[in-house]
Amino acid sequence: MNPAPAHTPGGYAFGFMDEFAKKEIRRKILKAIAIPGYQVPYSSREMPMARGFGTGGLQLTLSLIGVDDTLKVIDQGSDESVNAVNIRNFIAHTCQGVAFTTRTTEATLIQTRHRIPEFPLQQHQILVLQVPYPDALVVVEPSEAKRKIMHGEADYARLWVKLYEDIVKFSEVTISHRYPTKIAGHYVIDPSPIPRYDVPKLHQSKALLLFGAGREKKIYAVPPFTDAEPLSFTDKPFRVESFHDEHGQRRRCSRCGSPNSFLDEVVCDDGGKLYQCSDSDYCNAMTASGGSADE
Amino acid sequence: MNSPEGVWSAVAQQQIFRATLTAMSSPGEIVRISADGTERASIAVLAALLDNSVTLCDYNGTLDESTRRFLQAQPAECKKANYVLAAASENPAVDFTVALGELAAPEAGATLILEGNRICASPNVARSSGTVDLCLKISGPGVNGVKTVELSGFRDQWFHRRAEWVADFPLGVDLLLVDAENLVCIPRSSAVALGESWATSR
Amino acid sequence: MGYVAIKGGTAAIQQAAKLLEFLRADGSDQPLSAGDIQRQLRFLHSRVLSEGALYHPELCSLAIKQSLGDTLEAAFMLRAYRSTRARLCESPLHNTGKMRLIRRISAAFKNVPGGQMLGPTPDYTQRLFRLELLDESPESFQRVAREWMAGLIGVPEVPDSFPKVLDVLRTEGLLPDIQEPGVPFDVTREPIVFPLPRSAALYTMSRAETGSLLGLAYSNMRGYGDLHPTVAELRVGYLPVMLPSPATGEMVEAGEILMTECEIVCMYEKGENDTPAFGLGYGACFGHNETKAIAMAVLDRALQRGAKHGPQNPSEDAEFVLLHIDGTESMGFAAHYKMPHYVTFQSDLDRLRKAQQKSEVKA
Repeated sequence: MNPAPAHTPGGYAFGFMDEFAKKEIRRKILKAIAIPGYQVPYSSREMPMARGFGTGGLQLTLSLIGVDDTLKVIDQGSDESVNAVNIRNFIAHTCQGVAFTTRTTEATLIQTRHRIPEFPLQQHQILVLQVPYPDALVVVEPSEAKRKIMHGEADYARLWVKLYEDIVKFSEVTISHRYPTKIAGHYVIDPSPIPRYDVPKLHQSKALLLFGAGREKKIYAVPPFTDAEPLSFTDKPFRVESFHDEHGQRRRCSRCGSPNSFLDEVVCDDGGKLYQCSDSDYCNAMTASGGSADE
Repeated sequence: MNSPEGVWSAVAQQQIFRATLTAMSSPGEIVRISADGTERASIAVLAALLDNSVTLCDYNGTLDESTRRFLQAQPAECKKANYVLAAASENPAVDFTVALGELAAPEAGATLILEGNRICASPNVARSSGTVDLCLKISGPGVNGVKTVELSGFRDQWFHRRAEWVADFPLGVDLLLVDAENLVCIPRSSAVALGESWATSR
Repeated sequence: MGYVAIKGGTAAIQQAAKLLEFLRADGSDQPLSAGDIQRQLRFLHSRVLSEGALYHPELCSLAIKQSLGDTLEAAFMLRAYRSTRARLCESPLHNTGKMRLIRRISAAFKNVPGGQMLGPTPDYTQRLFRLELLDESPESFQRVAREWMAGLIGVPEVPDSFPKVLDVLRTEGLLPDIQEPGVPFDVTREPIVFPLPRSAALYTMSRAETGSLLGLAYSNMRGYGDLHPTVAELRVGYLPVMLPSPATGEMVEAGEILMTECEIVCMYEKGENDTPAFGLGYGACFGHNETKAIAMAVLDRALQRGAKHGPQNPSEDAEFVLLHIDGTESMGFAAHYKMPHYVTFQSDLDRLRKAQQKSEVKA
């Protein structure tokens, strides 16, 4: 029997997508969790947002969400970035009864583009990441059919060669975001365009991380308490972005003073530079609890 | 036309799915699957996940005709079906096999739902009444350390066979253990050791 | 200078939409009607109908109107709407021999059974401007249709349908045997994993963006390929759609759809039992879009070649062709580059600065 959807004003079913679409995604999510890091193909419906604007993440969220959930949506770490606003408005319109929050600690479900929140995620929270390129091997092999075999055999030799060539040319691996990361000792994933700074948060996380690529039609997962190792050589360890100034001092956020967050570099009208937390919720919380600029 | 009730409603299916998701991402954690309480957990989970694009093997024929129709899944033999429902109270037949997937498509490995008497966290009440048959120690992705689950009415051969089926990761099968109300998931990525069991009247 | 907050995202989005709406309405007295778009912009309408993959002529007109004529946006709107529609049933296999034709030509033969029916086509017109159309009055506009209709009196009727040219070749044994139709692969319901069955390739191409399809087909025609195609038949017309009656289950005509179909015949190849036969390529799409149907037929043939012998050219490579011709996907991804990317850019800056430091140290 087809379940009769609860209708929202405007005639759309709760969660916008029909139940068949949601069920397919739900089945695929479970398989993705059972095979950590493996990209499960799915048929991927068109959404009223263009491909490339987070339709994969959105389909995951719409398949997961219920009226018990509290949702946070961020882009570049901010709840107010245009992409986040657009997605949140759409979900508010099609999922009546869902609660929204800007606070990471209050959310049961978080959809994000390009950042993992600064506040460590807790058990039973779910993070949904928007993914443009699901496959870490695409940089060395354009054919998907060939990449599937390489992944199945955990044959990442050509990826290692590319990293090695980087080191020979530039003394370091030049990959900045989308750093290839090995999950549970087998599949290497593209963790989406999160900065290197956020890659360590995948390792032994308490929360479930789900990755949705709408245009490429793949779902993958890093379960909680799972090993996630960025690919590196023993003599060239993985390094996160440096926020140290020319004196070797770690920069602080100009608003809350935190020396522990990923900082956005802002070019001011007078040509000077400002650094502030990318994560707006974190910055708000730090500011409220008494942090301040030290300048 | 009446709205579908109970486990056939969209709202219930979303909740059942979320409980299943919790169980799959935390192997060994027992979740309660209670829609309206009138359907057993196995049917609730199947109702939430299945439609006419997947296949089901009702190995012991425990589903009635109307449930089978509502599930809409195409029937298939156990070695090919996407979803297999089997009674855990009997050991699997010698020729019982399930789909394990392929290297380029490991997701084709089946989901096996095993129905037994009771699933308890460890330590538990049932132990004192001497009805625990098996004790599973589960570790691996999703588990912080080791999680122990005590089962009653689940024959041990299922877990020996599982070990064979999941020996070549990423190929394998993903297990959903259910009693009347509860669910525990053991994905192929989990390591399972059979612990001490209290032998009861077998 | 203090904190730069990201604020006003909602307000900015709302104002952007209002500005676009202003551009749509400014300077004109009359809004476009759905009928005007469907009829006077016939080929634009057909293109979007096919790329939107939903046969709803009225909503197609609305999509074009709402998107100010952006075919990619308009097709996208239809696709998004299609996503919300429930699947009622599958029709049985339809035979395009039943099409009520408005145009039918063959390049393969001078004479074909039934004759060449040019129908409405600009193929043999001169591409010279009719500048008087810049000042077209409602009266002269209305006169066009009236006079044409009046001129029909006494003109002999043309048959609704014609026999298929390919049947002529088939009776001579020049074509490969017709194969059992399998279950069609629905790319909107099942994940795409290569190698794909031919029905999946045909459907993907049928809803593909016309320009992308044309570009790839052209590469094959120009020499990145070896097909030597001839158009056996090109048909434009209305196909009656037969669906089971909800009451009796019998097939009834639910309506008809305007569609274009092209069958090409290519240099012969060895058949299954070693007798050479022509290779066939098939193209079909909603609406009146001949360029698309021809391009699709060429690519269908090219992909079959590629599947059999290994791709020798990009147009023969199924992954290369089928993953890059969907307008909704390609447009969406191109557009996404306009979204904020400053965190990833920050990451890039860090890498480059580090690398520059290292090369300075070396030097």
